[in-house]
Amino acid sequence: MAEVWKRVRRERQIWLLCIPMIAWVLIFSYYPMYGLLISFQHYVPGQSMFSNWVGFDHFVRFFNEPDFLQIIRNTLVISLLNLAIGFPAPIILALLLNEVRGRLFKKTIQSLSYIPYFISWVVVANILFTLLGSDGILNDMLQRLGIIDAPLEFLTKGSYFWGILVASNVWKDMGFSAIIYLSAIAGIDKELYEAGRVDGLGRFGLIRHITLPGIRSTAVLLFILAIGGILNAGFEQQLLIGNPLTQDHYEVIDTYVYRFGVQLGNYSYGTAVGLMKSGIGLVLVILANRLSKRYMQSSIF
Amino acid sequence: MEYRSRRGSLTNLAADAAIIIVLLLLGFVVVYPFINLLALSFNDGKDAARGGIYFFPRKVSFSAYNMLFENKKLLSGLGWSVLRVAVGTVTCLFVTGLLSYIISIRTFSGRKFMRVLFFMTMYFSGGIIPTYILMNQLHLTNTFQVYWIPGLINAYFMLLMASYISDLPEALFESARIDGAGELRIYMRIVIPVAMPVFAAVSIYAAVGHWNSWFDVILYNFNGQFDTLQVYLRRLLLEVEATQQIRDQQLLLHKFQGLSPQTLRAATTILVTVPILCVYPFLQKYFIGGITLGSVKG
Amino acid sequence: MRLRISTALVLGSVLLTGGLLAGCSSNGNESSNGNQANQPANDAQQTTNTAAEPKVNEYGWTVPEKTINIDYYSADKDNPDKSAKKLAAIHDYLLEQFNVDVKKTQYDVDGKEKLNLMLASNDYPGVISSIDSDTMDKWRSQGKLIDLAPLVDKYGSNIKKELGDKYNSYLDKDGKLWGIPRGWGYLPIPDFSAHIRWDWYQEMGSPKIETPEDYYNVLKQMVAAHPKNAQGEKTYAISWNDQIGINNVMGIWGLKDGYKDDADHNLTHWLKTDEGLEAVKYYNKFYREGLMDPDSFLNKYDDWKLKFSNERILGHIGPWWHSWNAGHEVWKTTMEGWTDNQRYVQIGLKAPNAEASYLSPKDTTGWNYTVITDKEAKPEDIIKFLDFEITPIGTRLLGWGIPNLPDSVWNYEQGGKWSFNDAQKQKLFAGTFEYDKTDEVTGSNQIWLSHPQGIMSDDNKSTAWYDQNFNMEDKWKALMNTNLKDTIYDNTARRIVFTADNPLTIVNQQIEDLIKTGFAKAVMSKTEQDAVNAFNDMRDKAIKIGLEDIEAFRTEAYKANLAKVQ
Repeated sequence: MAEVWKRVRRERQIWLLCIPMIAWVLIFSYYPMYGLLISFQHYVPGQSMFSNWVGFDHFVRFFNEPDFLQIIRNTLVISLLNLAIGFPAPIILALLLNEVRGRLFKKTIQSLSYIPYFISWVVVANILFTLLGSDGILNDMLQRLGIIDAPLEFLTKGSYFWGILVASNVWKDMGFSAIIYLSAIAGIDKELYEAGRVDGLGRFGLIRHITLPGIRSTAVLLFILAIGGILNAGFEQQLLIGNPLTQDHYEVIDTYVYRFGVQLGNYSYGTAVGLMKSGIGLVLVILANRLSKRYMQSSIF
Repeated sequence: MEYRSRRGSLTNLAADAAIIIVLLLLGFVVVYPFINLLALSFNDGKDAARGGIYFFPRKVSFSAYNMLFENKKLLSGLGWSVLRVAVGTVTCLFVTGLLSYIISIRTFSGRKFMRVLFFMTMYFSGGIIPTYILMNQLHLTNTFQVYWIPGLINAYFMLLMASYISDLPEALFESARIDGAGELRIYMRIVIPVAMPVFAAVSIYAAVGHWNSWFDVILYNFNGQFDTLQVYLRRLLLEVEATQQIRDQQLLLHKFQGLSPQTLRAATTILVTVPILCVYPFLQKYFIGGITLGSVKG
Repeated sequence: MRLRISTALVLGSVLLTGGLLAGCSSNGNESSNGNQANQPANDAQQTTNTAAEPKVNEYGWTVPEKTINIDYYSADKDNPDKSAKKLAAIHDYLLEQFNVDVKKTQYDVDGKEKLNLMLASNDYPGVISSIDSDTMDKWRSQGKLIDLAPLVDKYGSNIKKELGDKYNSYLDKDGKLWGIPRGWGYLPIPDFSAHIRWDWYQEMGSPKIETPEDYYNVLKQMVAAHPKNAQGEKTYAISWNDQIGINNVMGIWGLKDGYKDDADHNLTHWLKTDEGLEAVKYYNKFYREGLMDPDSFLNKYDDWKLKFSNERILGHIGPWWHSWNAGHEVWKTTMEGWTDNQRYVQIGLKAPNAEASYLSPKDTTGWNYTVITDKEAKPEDIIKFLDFEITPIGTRLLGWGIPNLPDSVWNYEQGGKWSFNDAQKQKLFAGTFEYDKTDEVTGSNQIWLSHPQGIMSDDNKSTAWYDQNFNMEDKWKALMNTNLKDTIYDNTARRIVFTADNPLTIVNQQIEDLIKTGFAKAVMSKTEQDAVNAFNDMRDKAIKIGLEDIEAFRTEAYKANLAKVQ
């Protein structure tokens, strides 16, 4: 005990800085968490937060939904595709940008690459429609080139949907996500490159032995977090790009809960599924963190 | 930064060319929709309904912009947005950065506790109703403060920044500590300058987040006094898009008069994107090339 | 004795006038124009001299001595700036002429969500309008609303008179009234129809179109005559978009809002009827013959509009204003040498076996309600105003807005005589009527707490929608109304409310989802047999989910409603 007290005394300066932050997080994040209780209730706004208990009914209901398996499949497939393509894409972009020598060219591309991040999904859906519709630009081109006879049903076939969705996600987020890798690259000590060159490393050698290790901890961190977010497979984009014919491929947990919970006025259901998702996400992150600690010597906490 | 290759070897040149081509292609894919939106936004609404506008407007018209600029609220909205981005980004960066530094101090006993305490907030939140009641109780509704106080610390940013700061050599801070510098001083004098690239990157994230957010504005600042640009523009668009929810045909006809969603949406995208794009060039210098730690130490 | 009374009168009136003047001058800063604010004070002076009785204004409203405050939240999502701008004129007018101060609050957030937050945080005004029956019930069960029935008994004679027999249908089983309906009544204007391209139809010699089959044949010939549009793109006979209701379409085959109604008032969903199958086969035929836009079920309204404006889709079964917004209203400005005949005309279709075509269901209950909460200090004042608003003259004033201004749509004289402003009427016909501007100047329909949208009780003709008063005077509207007048029907009794705590709410949503997907898949089948199979699959799945429970629930509610009205 005395040991602990001594430590705290020694670190009192740091603890003093921590106190307001702890107060802040308790007030703004932890205190409102009593709202999670409604997952176990049949909640009607205005009622007390401690009544109408229904136990785990909402959780059980979710597992008994008629389309449960399909929803889980879609969520996982879309997420894993996002991870497999969307995760390396910004790294590659950052590496490419770093290899460019023309200052102006580099600056320009870099500044422009995050424009798509600002384009709303409504507009993206419009673009996709003109591009991929049955008489869209792509079908038109393929037909003229004689590659296909009849227009391909890009937007109405479920099997295409996943690819289109993931491609749009990547397009939209790649530039914005690359920013953090660029900062990591910028943080690499210049002297390391000098030393590398002295050791006779070529261009790819420098990337492999200096740049990549330099951004490793950032990449591992983002990867671990992405694992935790595996049940978040998007929401707005599904509703906008999807249509009745692709519903069996686009419906993911969030769209389902939105339509059957929130829109029908059932807050408890929405909260319950959200809570479950968070719980699973947290477990996954902890697992990923463990693995990364063991094999990559890098961890979040 | 330019580690010019000593040998202009053929493979190197080919690689350069390939990189430039890939980036040019990417640049086109990224910029074209924007150019298209630009063209659309300057086109007459009814004419645009015919389609076929690619690079340039066909029938030039400023009506979409006129509609957007019609109201004085646009300017005040822009003002609040800029203020929000400035105040929100600076405070968030300062506080979250400090936290990131604290949880990166290897000798600090509360390091793991603090990490976990904030990390959890990424996964669990109370939901909209308790948060609304809280803001109401704290009298934060209908104030400017609600834009930055609840966003002071962001756990995601904390992890990003801590990961960067942890990679820095411990000796950097240790020597300052031996010289008797306080932690706050070390943070401001050493951590911030050395970790500038990550501060710059996260400030772009934070700025964009503040710039784009609208939900908290209409939720907490419902009296309209602190409406931001996003909210103002969203409202105009909404008039076009909310019509889908109206069941009554007569109401619908009444509301649909004279609005062209297509060009208005394009103009809105342009207006929303251009100001925030200007942030990047200011921060760009921190991204180019590597730093030399030695120079900071000395 | 006499002398004493007159002295009292004079004294009283002097005091009253003084009070009014003082009141007005202190209110002066609220009004934008100081001179205007003095006007009613002078009026008041004159009347108080003649009698101390409460002043009755030209609309028959007893002007109260103390200003009535109506502070309400309207749960209709709208732009608050615009809404405030449009309220200003009518607000001032009501304050001056009626001594009623209306404060309306509106936000651009989902009204239901905002109401939930208000309920949860106990922070809400005295009056709420545009609250739907489900939410109203939530508020009632938390004890936040007051029962209006006693107040209506005391102060609401017009409410009872105007609602007539329907009044009882708004009471709950204990005879309590929790809300006054808004936008109620029967408005006999059509919503839904088939459309025909008028100039091309004339070119074809306008063959008769009565049945879906006729329509198909005409469209087929039309596509043959116009296989490509001006840009050389392939044309289609028909398409679809996300705003077309399948239930409306079923009306062509004689179903009412998607349900078959037998002699005993049992309801059968279209999935379980031959008519439903016929409808699917009908669209499937277009699809199989390449006459249907392959992107039909992926079109959002905007996408559809683009194709329609470009003359790529020659026919349309859907809301009539689709063909206006996407058709001649666009062509007028973009097409060189556009003529009046280049437009769509609405026609009714009826399948040969159907007893009638039921395209436009009309629910006379109203969209939603105005309620008074426990925070209202003077509920009786609110009811008094609602009672005025619901009368024909109240409806005219709040529906059409302030009269007698150059931009007013109507003129009103003391004694109840009124007329339409001819200049505005001509603008309406010419398509140059400025809706937004008129709203701003006259405040038309900006305050809508209790008035009907249906025809008014005094002349059985006027409606609160100004522009719907001359349908037979405008050539094209008249054509539409004549063609479709038999397709409009009163659907009130079939109205249904799915509350959040009803387990069938979810079943209903699941079936609607299934139909959205299933209908599209069935229509887009390669052979007729495939279409029939897809239809049967969809039906079987729906039954498995609980279609028959929904039918039973609807039938029960339907019969109960019928009993209430009778």
